[in-house]
Amino acid sequence: MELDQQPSRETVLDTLTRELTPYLGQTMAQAAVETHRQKLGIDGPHITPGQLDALLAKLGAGLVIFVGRERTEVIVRQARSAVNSLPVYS
Amino acid sequence: MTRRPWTDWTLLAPMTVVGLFFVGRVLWPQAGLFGAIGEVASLRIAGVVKLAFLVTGGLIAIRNAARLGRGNLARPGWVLLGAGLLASAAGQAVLCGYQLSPRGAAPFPSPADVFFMLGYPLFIAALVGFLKAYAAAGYPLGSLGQRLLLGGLVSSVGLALAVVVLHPVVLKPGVPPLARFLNIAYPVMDVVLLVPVVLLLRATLPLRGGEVWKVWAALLAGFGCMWAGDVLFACFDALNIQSVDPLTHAMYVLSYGSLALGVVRQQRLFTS
Repeated sequence: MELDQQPSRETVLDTLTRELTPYLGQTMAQAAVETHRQKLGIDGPHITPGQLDALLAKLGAGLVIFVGRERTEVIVRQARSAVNSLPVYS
Repeated sequence: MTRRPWTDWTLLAPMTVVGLFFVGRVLWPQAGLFGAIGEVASLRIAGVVKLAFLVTGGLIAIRNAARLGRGNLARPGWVLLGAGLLASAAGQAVLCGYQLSPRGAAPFPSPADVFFMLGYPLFIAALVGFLKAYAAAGYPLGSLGQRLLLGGLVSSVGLALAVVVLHPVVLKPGVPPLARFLNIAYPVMDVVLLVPVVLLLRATLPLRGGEVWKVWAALLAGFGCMWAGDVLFACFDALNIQSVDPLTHAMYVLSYGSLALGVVRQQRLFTS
């Protein structure tokens, strides 16, 4: 997939926030996604697959203390799947 | 609208029924059911309900810790919370032994107080363990200065309230030394417990709306009701204010029920 065909950074971040909200609530989900985005230096218009992996790993590490490893893996898998199924922007 | 899971109702229903019964007993002591069920019978029912909540909460909390797996930062907190609930369950079992006997009422102090007192350091260590875990995982707990300020404020207000409550307890003549010590120790331990409770409340408030918040709302409400129950008990026992006794039972039922509810909700988080 060409980089300019990928969903925008904001769309991906919103999708990740939406996937975490049932567990962390909207405020904490937004804060967690934004904090890790900043820490990882994800500033471009799009999020690369590598950046998505790193972001999901960070979010998973925060989630695991609340829901355990098995459940975290399911949530992270669902979040990745939700991002991958986003409509492609051109 | 989301439906409340049936596991919540298995705890909420007895909490509501028994809690309302004791509140009704304060407001209308002679009316209908409140007058018909004698004091000994109501003590027995409340005692068994409290014991069931504590045993359920303790065992499931230990199971929650096991499900989190080795190396999970929150695991020690769940182990200690489970141990605290089981220590309190042992104390409640001793009280039930007295209450279910022909005598019908437990003395104060009794061997049960050894277990209840043991529960406090375990609860405090559990809550501190959760705070450390959430800080290490990167969740915002506020700066060290903010935490010290909040902790200082809570302990100051708590101690001021404790002094107001304990002042007549300390001065009352003819109280056996052990009873006097325990009537002071329980509220003081509550004040110490209240500090991590408030810090955790601040830390977990941003989780509102999520499943994790439901766990913490129940657990922290449980500790709040425990504090209220201990203050009421000090008034009842040391100051001989008989009218608050049913409220004391209501608070402990709500406390242990809420703690068990939080633990059960955490268990559901692993599978839902």
